[in-house]
Amino acid sequence: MALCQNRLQEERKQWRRDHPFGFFAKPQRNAQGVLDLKVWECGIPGKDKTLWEGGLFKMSVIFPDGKFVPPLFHPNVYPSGTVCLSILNEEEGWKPAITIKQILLGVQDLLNDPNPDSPAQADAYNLFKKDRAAYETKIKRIVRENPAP
Amino acid sequence: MKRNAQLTGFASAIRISSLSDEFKHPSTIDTIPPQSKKRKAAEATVASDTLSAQRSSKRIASAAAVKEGPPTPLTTGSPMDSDDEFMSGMSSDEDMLQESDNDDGSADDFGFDEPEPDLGYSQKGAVEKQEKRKFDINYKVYHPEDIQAQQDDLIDEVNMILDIRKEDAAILLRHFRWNKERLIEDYMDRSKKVLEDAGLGPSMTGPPKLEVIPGFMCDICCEDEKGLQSFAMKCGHRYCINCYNQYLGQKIKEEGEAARIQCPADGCKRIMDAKSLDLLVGADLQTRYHELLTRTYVEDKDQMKWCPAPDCTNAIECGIKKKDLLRVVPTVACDCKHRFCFGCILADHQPAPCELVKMWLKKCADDSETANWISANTKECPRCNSTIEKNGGCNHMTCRKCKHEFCWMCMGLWSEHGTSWYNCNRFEEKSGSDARDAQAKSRVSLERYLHYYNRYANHEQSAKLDKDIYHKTEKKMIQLQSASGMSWIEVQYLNSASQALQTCRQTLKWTYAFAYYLGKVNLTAMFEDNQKDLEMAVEALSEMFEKPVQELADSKLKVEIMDKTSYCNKRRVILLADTADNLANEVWTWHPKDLFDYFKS
Repeated sequence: MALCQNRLQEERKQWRRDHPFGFFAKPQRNAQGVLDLKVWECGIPGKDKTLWEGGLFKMSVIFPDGKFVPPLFHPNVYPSGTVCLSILNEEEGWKPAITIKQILLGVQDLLNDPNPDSPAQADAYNLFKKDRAAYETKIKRIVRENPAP
Repeated sequence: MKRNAQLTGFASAIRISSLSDEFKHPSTIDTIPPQSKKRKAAEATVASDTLSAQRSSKRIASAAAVKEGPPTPLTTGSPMDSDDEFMSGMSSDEDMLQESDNDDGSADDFGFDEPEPDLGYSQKGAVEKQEKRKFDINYKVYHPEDIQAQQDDLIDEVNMILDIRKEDAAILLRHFRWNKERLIEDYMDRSKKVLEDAGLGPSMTGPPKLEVIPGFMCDICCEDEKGLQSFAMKCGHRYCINCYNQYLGQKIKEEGEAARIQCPADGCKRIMDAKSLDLLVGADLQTRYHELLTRTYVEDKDQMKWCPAPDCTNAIECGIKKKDLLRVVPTVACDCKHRFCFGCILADHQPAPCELVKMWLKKCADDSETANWISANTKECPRCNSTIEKNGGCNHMTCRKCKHEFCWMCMGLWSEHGTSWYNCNRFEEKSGSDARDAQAKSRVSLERYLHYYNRYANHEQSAKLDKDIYHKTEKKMIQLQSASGMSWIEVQYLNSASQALQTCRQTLKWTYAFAYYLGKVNLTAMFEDNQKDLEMAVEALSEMFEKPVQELADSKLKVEIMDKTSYCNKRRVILLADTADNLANEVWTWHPKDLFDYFKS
């Protein structure tokens, strides 16, 4: 446990020193008002010059799990909000040295570049596959609903 | 052992003769032979003592061998002179070696136990050679040490040819699924890309070592304690030893990964090599890691498979290709005595080819119970052949599908029944017997299946009951010994009878699955004759075998059992050879005709 606390402490330090523009990631305080390093509130902005530009999507990370709150309309996001991404999967691409920064950047990349080979929700996947125009309209609406400050 | 003794014998004889050469008769050579001959004669008397001891054991071996299988050439007659003995041992040894060389040109004999050229073995060798039959295939059994040695051999070779570290050679070989030729070719063409793909990107030199670097902080646990030992592979991603330990432990123990453990850095594809791993983890993980590595060697090679018997660590190499499986049934026997099919890993299923076995097992799993029930509880509508279950009511049936009205009892038209409605006695009426004929026809396919299935299941059941037959036989042998005063060797015939029963039943079982898929031609009739013959012999042997011990003590019955055993074995061989021959020449007619077409395309 100490190992994990140590690492998260350091992650926080690194994040405060430097983090990509538009993102946020901060540990939450628990009921007693003490900082709980295992519960983080994160935000991922949509990439510039993409459909997702101008949006900000909130993720709640309770180590070792993270999910979009509320669940995001995206082919690779499960109805529960969990993200289907290789670097988040222990059997696939996860490595112990992956940092929070890398994960958040990875999810940002995924937003505009869905992986049709591993669909996670039917609605978004079907729309993405069958009616790209309708899919894009819907994304634009979602971005408007979740504007970056 | 014996051979060694004789070798030294010869050596000393030569030495003595050369001494005599120098000191006694420097010029004449003819005087030397008598002396060495004398020396050899002494040898011979000494040897013949051991010889007689061996001869008795040989007799036992050959006696056992006779019962085990088809005709064995017995070496009887005048006692041989030790020299001849030696030569005969030698020649059979040579044959054995030659044979194994022919087995597979590419495979190395590395670490293969060399047979002791003693008499018992050469006898056995003769038996094996005799038993070499048409349906036997070439294969080799490898023990874990052999597999390790083979790998080391390949690694050494690549290490020498390409001049790279052994660890890297191992990784490259694994990357190329142990295809040495392809590796060397590709490496010669574009070494950089090959290295990159295998996870051996740009490298520095020097052996792997743990280092203490001042001011180092591990990127995984963020520990920056002074004197913290750290390690980096050639990719330069450095982590502390504790994190490495944890990471590798997870990969090896939980995920069973070995050949493809990557560097813990994100996106780095560098593969952990054996030497670095040994530096980082404890002995138990090391052992497990090397076990897993060896396993990938066998799994990567198409011509190698693990023996599926529980707790058996041997692997079998066999050159049978997947496309050959329609024409051969590659049954192999591991050193652990387990006989299985190399094509599909199931237990020995001669004479039926793998694809047929697969279809049959699937059919049995799907159909047999249903078919049984249908056969027992339903009839078909005489007009539309719908299957009908009568679950109550009178015999006046109206088919729900085609509205045909008929009598459940005689299957005839209801309109012809007149007044005797509820008590059908009209068996002889024409419409009724026609309807029954039609029904019989529609049922033929089902009955046909059940015919074969029931016989198949019967033999399977018997085989299951025979599971503890070994203990039963042993008990019986002991009882028989005390009842008849026969020696342990003399009651061995029971053991061979029980073994013959088991193998024959196994074969018979699959002949029924095989027959189900055979078309009705003359060849099939011959096959069925063979099958019948074997089946009758097996049943007869089974009956004799089950007789009480008092009767078994009768020497006449013993001879009968021995005869029957060898007859069963012979018939089995004939049946298998015949089937395998026709399979290889593709002359069987299948039912339906296009049975294997999808497999061929």
